[in-house]
Amino acid sequence: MTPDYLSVSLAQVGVSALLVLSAVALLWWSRSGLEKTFLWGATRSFVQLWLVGYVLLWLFHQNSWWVYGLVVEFMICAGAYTAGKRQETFSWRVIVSLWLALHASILVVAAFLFYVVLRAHPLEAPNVFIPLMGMMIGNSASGAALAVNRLRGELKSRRGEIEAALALGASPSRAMEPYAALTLRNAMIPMMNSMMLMGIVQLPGILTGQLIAGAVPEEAVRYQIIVVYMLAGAVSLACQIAIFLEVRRMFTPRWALAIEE
Amino acid sequence: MTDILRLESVTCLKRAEGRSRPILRSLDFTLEKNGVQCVIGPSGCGKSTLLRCIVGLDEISEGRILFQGRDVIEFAVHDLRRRIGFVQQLPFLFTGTVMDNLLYGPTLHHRRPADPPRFAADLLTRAGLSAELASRPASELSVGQQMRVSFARALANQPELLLLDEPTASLDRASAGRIFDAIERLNRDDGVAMLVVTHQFEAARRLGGRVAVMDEGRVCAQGALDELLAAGHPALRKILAEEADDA
Repeated sequence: MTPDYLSVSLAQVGVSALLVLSAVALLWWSRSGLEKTFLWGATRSFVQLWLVGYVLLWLFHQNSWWVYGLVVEFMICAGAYTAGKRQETFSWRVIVSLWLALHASILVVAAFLFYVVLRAHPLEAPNVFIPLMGMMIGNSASGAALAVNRLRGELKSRRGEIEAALALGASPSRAMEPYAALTLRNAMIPMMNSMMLMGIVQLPGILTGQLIAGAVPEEAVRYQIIVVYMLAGAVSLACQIAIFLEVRRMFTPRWALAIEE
Repeated sequence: MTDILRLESVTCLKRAEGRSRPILRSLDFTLEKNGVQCVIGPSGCGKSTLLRCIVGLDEISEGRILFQGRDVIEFAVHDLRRRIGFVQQLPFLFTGTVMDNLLYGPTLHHRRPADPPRFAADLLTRAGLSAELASRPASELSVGQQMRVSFARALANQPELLLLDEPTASLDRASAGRIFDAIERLNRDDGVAMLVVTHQFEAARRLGGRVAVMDEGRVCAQGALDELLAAGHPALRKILAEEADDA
């Protein structure tokens, strides 16, 4: 027998806050100095999630490509900017590369996911569309940012070898080939490790959410597998495109390195 | 046209920490066909940048560079870099064997030899190395050996002009001698023109003694090294002062 959905009240949320307070107490007792920050973080998460709940409620009733398109565009811009800001050196050009990579990868994967796999129109399933797009964008932005960061690191440490290849007549893509491959491998490792451990160390988020909502485990697991594969496809495509755009950006039209030493 | 290389009012700016500063300033220079010329000057005068601009690893902001009578921008980049070989100051060899390094250039230009081991053996011998090194991983070689493999790798493209940036700076006397021998043979037997950047007077004398003296981004004198030294050229006195500081 599949258990029913277990509804929770605001009062129950309040009771759960005791766990936060106990954590704050422990932090205070150990003189960590983190009590205020921790409390602020917990308060922010409460307010932000509460607001998100109302926003989602409104969104799911819109049934409009314009609205959903704007939401997705906002998520992509935010994802590209946040990921770009985490680079060693801030660069609007890197943010633009990430923005382009996210658009290309998300559009391809989302179209395949909804029209081929799920066979559901996004307007008819906004409760699936919006969350999945958010997951794809967040994971892809992180993966692509990691790839770009690693690529720039390879360029710095391997500048001599890269210029040796250029001096022999190699094109920029040829000169960067071994390092682009290494960068992609390293950017994909977190995703691959996650897939290896899926369901062994802990139950993943979609599966957990579906089970709590009362879904049949067999069906919840199918959803989770689709999401895992969706993320694998989106992240790898975003990384590849970001690497390609960055390699192009790193060189002048006459095949000289355009990045300062 | 007797010049293989001509630089006319070449200026090169480099950006560092958000600012541009000139490394080469309206530099004029010529190299004759089949010529061997040393470029000598104090640290930071732009010697390495001169070579890098010729092969296009640094871009010039003013002036022009002519190779075989044509502006370098008229050449396809891959073709220019096949015809002008560049040996960097440090031997940045690729992962893999010595043979992999030697075949890299010819493979790029679709000129892979029919008999790669023989091709590699010939190049290594010309660089003063044993042919047996071809199958060794490049990372296992000594610095001196790596430097000579780097030299052989540049020769693999059969260039018409070879640029060498301090080719003997990190070598012992014997290894440096072998490089000088290879340079002389290459120039004499194959007619390859050479432009050698060095701060070592001994190296300049070994290669014929004719030098272009650089200082502060310009070629300020050309002629016989010993004559310029006897005349007390300021840039050469700077080099002597640097050597005295290092000693």
